[in-house]
Amino acid sequence: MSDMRTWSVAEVAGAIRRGETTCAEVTQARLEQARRVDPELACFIELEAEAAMERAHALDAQADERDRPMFGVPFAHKDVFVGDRFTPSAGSRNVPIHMRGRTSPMLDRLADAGAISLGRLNLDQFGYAATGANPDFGHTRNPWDTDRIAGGSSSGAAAAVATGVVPFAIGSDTGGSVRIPASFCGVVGLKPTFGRLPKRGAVAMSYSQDTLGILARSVKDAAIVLEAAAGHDPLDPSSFDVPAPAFARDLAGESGRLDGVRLGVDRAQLAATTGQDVHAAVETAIGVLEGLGARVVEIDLACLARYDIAATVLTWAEIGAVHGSTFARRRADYAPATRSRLETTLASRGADHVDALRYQGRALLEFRDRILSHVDVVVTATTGRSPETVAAVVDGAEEGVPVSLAALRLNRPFNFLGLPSMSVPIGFASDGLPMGLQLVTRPWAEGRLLACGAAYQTVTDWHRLMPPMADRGAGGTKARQP
Amino acid sequence: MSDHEPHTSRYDGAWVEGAALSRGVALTPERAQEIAASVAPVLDAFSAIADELAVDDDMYEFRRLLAAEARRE
Repeated sequence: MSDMRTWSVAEVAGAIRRGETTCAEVTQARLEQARRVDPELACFIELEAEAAMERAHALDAQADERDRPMFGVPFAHKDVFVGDRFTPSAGSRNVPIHMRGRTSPMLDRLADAGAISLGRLNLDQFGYAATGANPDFGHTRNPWDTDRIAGGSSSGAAAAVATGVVPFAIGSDTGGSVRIPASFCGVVGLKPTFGRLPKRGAVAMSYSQDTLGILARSVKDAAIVLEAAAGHDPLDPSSFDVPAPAFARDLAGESGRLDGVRLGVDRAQLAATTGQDVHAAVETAIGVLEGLGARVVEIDLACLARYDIAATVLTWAEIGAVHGSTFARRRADYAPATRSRLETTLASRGADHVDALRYQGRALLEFRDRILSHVDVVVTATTGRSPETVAAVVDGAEEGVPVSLAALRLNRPFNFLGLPSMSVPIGFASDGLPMGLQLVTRPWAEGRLLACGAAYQTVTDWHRLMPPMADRGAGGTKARQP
Repeated sequence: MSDHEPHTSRYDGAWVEGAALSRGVALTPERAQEIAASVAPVLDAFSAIADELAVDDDMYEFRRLLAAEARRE
């Protein structure tokens, strides 16, 4: 049998459906991989091995259910969701999270599709950073160089997918928290349109920008997960009653060609936001897309700086409200770096919040008419440079803030605009760290992103590579050390 | 265009200290000054953006546009 750690969502479900393996075998193999890499990477806040095996055996007893799209497929999720067995930590041991609801439709839909949760994944505290550094649960390490950060805030999700612990993971993305770690760890990170995936039951950071997201090794796997999970949730006020296409089926019908697709590229912005390696890799990736039939259209993305400013203020106002009274009463219980960031949010006013929301509509209208009317897909780097070292982030005077800001500036504007965005791995920098290409399109046109990303992955192999540490035994303990 | 005065001086340490206190958080003057130094450029830039808004730029426009785009797709 081939290495199960590299099996895609479709391969796992297919092998189980054909009786070539069982849910229990697959789950056991992935749990073993988790135990192999987690001591060094700190992917998990809680590996729920017993519950996972129990569910795997239960599914194996339901042979007539095998046609479900993700039957027996292991996954894990960022620890921001409520469930019937757990309350999320949101990455903090000491600050209680009070959630009124007890269910997450996102997790319920994945369970209905047959997926098996292996556990809850590590993150930057409350999702409010982009480094993956976490003083309470260990700093998530980058599997391609464990001295480097994984990026965040869905840090554990990216590291777990990159090392074959799970074929996909669920994260959340308010300013790049799916795409940034996906780029740094060499996997696909998809943030759909605002309101596409049900976020009820997930700890909020910025109500007006939060979007759940999918991390996977391939674009095709992301499409399968999106198809299973997308859809209106009438109890979620941010959810839109929009029909969800059959993303995976539609993708299977694509030719792999991109003839006629207009790629919007701002070459001045690209040069200004990237280092030499990322700049070259993005240009090469654009060349690959052109080779598939796409055509480059020069655009001006100077407007992104204004959207980033407004997104920052909107985030301050909303995360400030999320933590308001708890922060006032229990400030000492917050980890120092998190406390520092939340203190900054106190400078936002109610009127700023309303103005940011008013501007959100203007901005989307402007971007639609000035940019998206002329191109099909906007292309940028996901992250401009290789990830910092963990030591630099943790020991630095400002504890990761500059690192987070640099990564967020390329991503956060698209959260403010509510636009679907996806990071696709495009190779490795000279220091051996992965790089990502960000693709952005019109609201609800995720299928266009998926077609573009999947076409790219039919002629490249970056997404198939596994970091060498994924094969090592559980010798390292870097991540869990103070 | 805006007929407002520049906002640069508004976001100083005393302003941040007062804003924090109004939300139940007492900051030292030194910490408030640090925060002011980091937030003032953002808030100044945001004020300039907000000054461009018209009275009928409604906070629900974003959702209306997304819904309209859904019908288009």
